[in-house]
Amino acid sequence: MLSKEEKIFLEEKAKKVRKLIIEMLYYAGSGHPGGSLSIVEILLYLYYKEIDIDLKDPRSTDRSMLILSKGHGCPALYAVLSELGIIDREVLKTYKKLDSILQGHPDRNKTLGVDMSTGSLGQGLSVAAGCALADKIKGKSHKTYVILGDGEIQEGQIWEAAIFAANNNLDNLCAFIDYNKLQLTSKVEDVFGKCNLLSVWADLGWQCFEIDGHDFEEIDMAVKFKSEKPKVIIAHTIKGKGVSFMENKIEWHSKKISEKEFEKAMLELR
Amino acid sequence: MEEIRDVFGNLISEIGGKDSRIVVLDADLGTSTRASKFSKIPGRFIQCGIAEQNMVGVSAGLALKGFIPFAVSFAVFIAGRCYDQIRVSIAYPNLNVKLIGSHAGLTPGPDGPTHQAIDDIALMRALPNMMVLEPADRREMAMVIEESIKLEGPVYIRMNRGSSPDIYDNKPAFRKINILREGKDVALIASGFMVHKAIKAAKLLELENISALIASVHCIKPIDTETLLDIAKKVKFIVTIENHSIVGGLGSVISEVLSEIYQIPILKIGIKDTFAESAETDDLFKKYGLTEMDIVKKVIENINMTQFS
Repeated sequence: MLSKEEKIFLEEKAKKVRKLIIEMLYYAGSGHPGGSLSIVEILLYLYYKEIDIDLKDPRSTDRSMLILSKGHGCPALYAVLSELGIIDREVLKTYKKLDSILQGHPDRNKTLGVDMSTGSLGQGLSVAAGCALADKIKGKSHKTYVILGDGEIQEGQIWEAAIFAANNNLDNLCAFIDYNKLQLTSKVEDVFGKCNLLSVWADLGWQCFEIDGHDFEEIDMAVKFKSEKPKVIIAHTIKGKGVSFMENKIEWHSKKISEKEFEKAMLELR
Repeated sequence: MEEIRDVFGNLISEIGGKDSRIVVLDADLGTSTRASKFSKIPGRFIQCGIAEQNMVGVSAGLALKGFIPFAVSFAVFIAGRCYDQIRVSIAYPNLNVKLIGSHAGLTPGPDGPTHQAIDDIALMRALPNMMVLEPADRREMAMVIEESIKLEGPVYIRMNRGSSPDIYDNKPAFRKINILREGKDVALIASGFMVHKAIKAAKLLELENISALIASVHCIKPIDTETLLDIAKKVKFIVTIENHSIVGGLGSVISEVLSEIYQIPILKIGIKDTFAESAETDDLFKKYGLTEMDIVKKVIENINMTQFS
């Protein structure tokens, strides 16, 4: 259980991180606001409660790790790493600019604290399964977390990895699905159908949870739940969460933020 | 005769028995690729099933955690089917994964074009950070396995099906273009399965009083430019010989490098930008122009051309 103080602390952080995301995207002149704002609570919870990055050696992989498989949500990751003191606040303004350490999609070699390079959708679950398997072989008790987009799971490799993880009993693997229900050009259900995600993953041998992805207590309960199977947390989220005119709007998947919109968004996030 | 895939299976199991960093991943082709030999090592043989893209991703995760994964399948499925997984999850983050593509070029013969990797070198060498190796015999095979374990970073190793006669008496030099025989008229520069055909061709050319230098290129990327230039200076022209499309393979590499530093005609023997077909491998080599007689013909046809003199 999260204490009241922890919850307040994380909620304050979430506001701050959302501001940093909007700033970053405004300065960059492009990017993915919707899917960055929807994963803020998941990332904050994981980095403050589960993933113990050694600030002196962020590259070490002898710890729990996070793979942001939906790499386009990286402004949220950069903002959280900045709050942890791994990325300098000023550096956030260089996101996607020439010579920056902050690429348009995560780059493990350029950015300290980023555990894996991603960007081509569908690949992170396999890599996370490899990390989890490695920890099992070595007898380590670390966990591997991966954040998948709900559109991303249309990629076939996700299902190869889902079968592999269950068959190898990777109970140290935990996948979040950022279930914001929208993708670049349409609603997810328009292309994926109205399938019941929970029963599909359960049939494959995963321990499934359905939570509010913006509620730290629900995230905490799902993550802490002891399971002998790999875990998938279907996190109901709001694309563009926190900025009224972006919430649940398909066009804010990827869109330049104008000066007026920037001011309005920052006002709302105060 | 021990095939190079047997050398791979036996050697990786032997090394893996002592080196706990080694893991071998199979996608349900282990008996053909000989990856299955590793299954005697408990906990470090990973059967991924018929899901190569996941296998490549799992390898990346294992490498992140410090293992040295060998991901093994047919060359078509590694380089072709998994190209983007290799690009994004291995080459871009520069992870220490060794990719083994078996049944290269026309050597899967009867299985037909879907199984014949004629483009894998072109694909893999286009990737930054990727080393591309193609051993010609059991000594080169053993060397590339041992050396690739010592190297930190991604490596693609291409191996053929079928027997590969010995071309060395001693241990070859790693990363070098190894000159097997000196010559002054033409240089036959070959890789993999084609090296022993180049040796046969050179013997036939000798009967025609043509002196052919023979070189084996096991390291296609990065290429040994220094030795290549030395070779070019010794002969009138070069014939490259590969069990791969002439688009993007060994012939392309050598042309690309020499065109910037030395003027010499370079002729290519390889699969001529076409899909082949199902047939016994020897019959395919004949039909698609990859026999020692094709090499001899190419040399004789061109040796007296005025622009080469």
